[in-house]
Amino acid sequence: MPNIKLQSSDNEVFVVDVEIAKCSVTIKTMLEDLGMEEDEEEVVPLPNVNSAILKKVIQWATYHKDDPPLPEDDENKEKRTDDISSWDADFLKVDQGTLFELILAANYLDIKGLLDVTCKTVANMIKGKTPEEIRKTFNIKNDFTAAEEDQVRKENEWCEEK
Amino acid sequence: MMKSTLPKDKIPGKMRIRAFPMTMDEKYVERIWSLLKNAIQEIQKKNNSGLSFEELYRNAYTMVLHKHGERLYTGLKEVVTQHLETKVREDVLHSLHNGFLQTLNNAWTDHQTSMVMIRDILMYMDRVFVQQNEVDNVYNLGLIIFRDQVVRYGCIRDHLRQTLLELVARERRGEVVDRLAIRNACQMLMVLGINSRAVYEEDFEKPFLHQSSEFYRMESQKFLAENSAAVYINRVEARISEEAERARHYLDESTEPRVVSVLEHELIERHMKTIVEMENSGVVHMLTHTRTSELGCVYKLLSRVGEGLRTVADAVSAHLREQGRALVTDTLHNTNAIAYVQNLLDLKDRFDHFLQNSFNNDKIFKHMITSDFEYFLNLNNKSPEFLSLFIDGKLKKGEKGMSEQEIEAVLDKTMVLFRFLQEKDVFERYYKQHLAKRLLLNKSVSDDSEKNMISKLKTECGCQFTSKLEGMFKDMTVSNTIMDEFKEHVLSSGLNLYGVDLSVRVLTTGFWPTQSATPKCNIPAAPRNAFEVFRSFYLAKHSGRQLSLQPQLGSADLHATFGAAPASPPAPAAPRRHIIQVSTFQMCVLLLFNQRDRLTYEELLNETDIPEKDLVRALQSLAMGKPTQRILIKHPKTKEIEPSHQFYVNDAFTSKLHRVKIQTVAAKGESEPERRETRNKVDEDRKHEIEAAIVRIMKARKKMAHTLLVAEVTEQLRVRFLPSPVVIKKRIEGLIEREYLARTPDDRKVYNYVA
Repeated sequence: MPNIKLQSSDNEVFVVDVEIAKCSVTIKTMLEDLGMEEDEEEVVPLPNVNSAILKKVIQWATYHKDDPPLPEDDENKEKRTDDISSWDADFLKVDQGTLFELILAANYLDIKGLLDVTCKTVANMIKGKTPEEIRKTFNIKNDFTAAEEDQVRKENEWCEEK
Repeated sequence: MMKSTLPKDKIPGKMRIRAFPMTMDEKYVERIWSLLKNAIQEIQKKNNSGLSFEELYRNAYTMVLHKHGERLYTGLKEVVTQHLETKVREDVLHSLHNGFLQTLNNAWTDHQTSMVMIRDILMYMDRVFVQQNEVDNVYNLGLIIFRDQVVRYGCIRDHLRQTLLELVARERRGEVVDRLAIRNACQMLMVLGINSRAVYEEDFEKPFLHQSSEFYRMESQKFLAENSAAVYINRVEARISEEAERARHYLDESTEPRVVSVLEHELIERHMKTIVEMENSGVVHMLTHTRTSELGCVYKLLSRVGEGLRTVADAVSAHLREQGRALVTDTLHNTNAIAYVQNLLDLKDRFDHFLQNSFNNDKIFKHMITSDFEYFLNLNNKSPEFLSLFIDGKLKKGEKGMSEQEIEAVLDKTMVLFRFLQEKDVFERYYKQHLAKRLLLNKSVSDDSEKNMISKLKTECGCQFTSKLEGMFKDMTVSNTIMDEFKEHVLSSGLNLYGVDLSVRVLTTGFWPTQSATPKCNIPAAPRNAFEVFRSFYLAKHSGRQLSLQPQLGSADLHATFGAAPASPPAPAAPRRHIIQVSTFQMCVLLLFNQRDRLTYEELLNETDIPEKDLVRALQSLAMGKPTQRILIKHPKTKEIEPSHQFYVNDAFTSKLHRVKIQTVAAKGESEPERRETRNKVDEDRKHEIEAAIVRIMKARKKMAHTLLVAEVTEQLRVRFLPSPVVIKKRIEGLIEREYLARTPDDRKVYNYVA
């Protein structure tokens, strides 16, 4: 199978099977425009992604290379967060930083499956928590004034379970 | 093609949560945008080989990520518009009279290629910004601008249309044109519609169809005036294939049905009647000259348009009715029933041939033939009688050279005609008469054929029709049994039959056709006495029954000796013996000559007591037929028979045969007075049937309005005949008088059943 070379922001070069690399629609389009030949010595630069993240991404893509194509997002269908496979759940047992970097990389590289599963993971981290707990989890500074906070709470009272 | 190169900026690789930059300063955004703008312009100039896909993609990504998608989108729009307005459009305008289509097509191809590349680098914006803001995606945006600024720009639009139409017109005239150029232009228009064919339709197809319509309108008029129907039709077929092929090959294929329907309208629909009714080449001409395949072409062509087949069917129907009516009302030739029916069968065969081979067994034509035959067959009220005579001819002995299957086939076809008859009850009456004759005179060619025919009638009309006919058959069988028993009885009891070898057929009155009254006849002594013996025998077996002799149905074999008396010189000397087969009436006449040599007509009339018309017929066969049949001589030898004319035995009679059968002057049909009599009987029966139907219906419904009752009665009786409302009304009034029905007190138009 033909290969392709991917270079991370910190100059590490990864050799990857072309079919696996095409999990990323960005890379796929790039290759079509480049008109890829068999022993292409060209290297595809990815300055937006560092080597550690790129390694993880390649790992995910390799495992999922035979997945059936995902159906189009039906806007009316409710999105679930409880359908993460066990392999993916294990794969994503990483620190937050890595998790967020993975999200950005998946967004940039346009890998829908990875983007979905990482976002779901974060969503699960938010679900069921109070605002204070969320701030603690993600280390977010509370930048509301007391008055603003009150107003927001009032506006959203109807959501709260009694 | 783009090269992949290393970017200039590097981002530090240490892993930590990066604070998401919420703002980007204006200078940075400006920088990114001009980078992209420049790249887009290079792509448009086809200088993309020096560009880095990744870099451009990343920059666009960054812009959109930082919420500057709007800026990017607007910028894109401006760049594309500017390029198309200033460069591309200008080029096309310059080429208006010199390689226009080629230039336009090249511009289009280049535009598509560059838009694809632009779309690819701006893919993130398409995915995110476009989706969220519900604007046109990059590629479609490019299409829209191209459409509005180039293709639909005033004079370019007009020129494009004119050029394309001109090319098509030239090709129609027979020139060779650049089909590929047209094809490319049409494809372009289809794509520019963006999921709709509106652009193609407005800018090209509509004017094209309009032009086609005009062109063919003129061509059709000219061509029709100069050519026959068949040639015109072939030409139309050719033109339709040509246009269909044109649409498939270089217009858009969705145009095919539209242009074909324009042609159908101009070439066929407008001229349907003209084609069909053309003198010396239209449908009627084709029918009379049996141009089966030409008719097939007409059918195929006209079936394309809504009312086409109806027009053809109307013309064929008019012709058929005319032929049928001529046949049926041709009084000169309509004395021969066999020829009459045979002609009708031939006519049906002829049109069935057309139905199958030209008109594809189409239902419309099938119905038309049926209704036409129904129409003219019933114009002649002798049709039922003739039909029965025709069948009679086929079932009689002596029908030469037809195998059983052939007879069967002809009878099946005759049944088809039977179905068309309105007055089926008249047919029944005649059929009974003819069947009776066949049975009694032993003339059926085979019992199987007869029974076959009856079962065919049964299938058509039900048991009521055929029960009497079957009864007639039964009588014949029973009579044979009785005769056997009688013969035994005579032998065993030694009874005297007065020298007569008697054979009796006993007919049940209800089954057989009756005369209005049994004709009188003086039976000579010997046969009369013999019959009395039989009568006692029979009545002893079946007391309570009555037997009456029917002289008009009987026959006799007589031993005759000629030449016993002195004769004139040419006659041979020795006496000759013959057996002559004659009818009962003739027997009565001849036996009188045993007592006297000469008898006048008047004397014969008085002595035999036979009704005049029967006597005349009997005498005609005996005295005025062929020489080999002339048993009697009439004096004077005129055709008419006066009361004073004399008859005497022809002693000079010779015949090669020992057994001579005297043919009765067969009336091939009835004479007029006989026909009237039959018709009266039919009317009588009908009155009864109508009344029976009325009573039946009223008994079930108890109460019914007049119009409804008339409709019901007509419906029920229609299988046998079509009763007229006037007659039904009269019958109702008759029934009211006899107190079967009554008028309701509140409404005179409603009747009550009186139990």
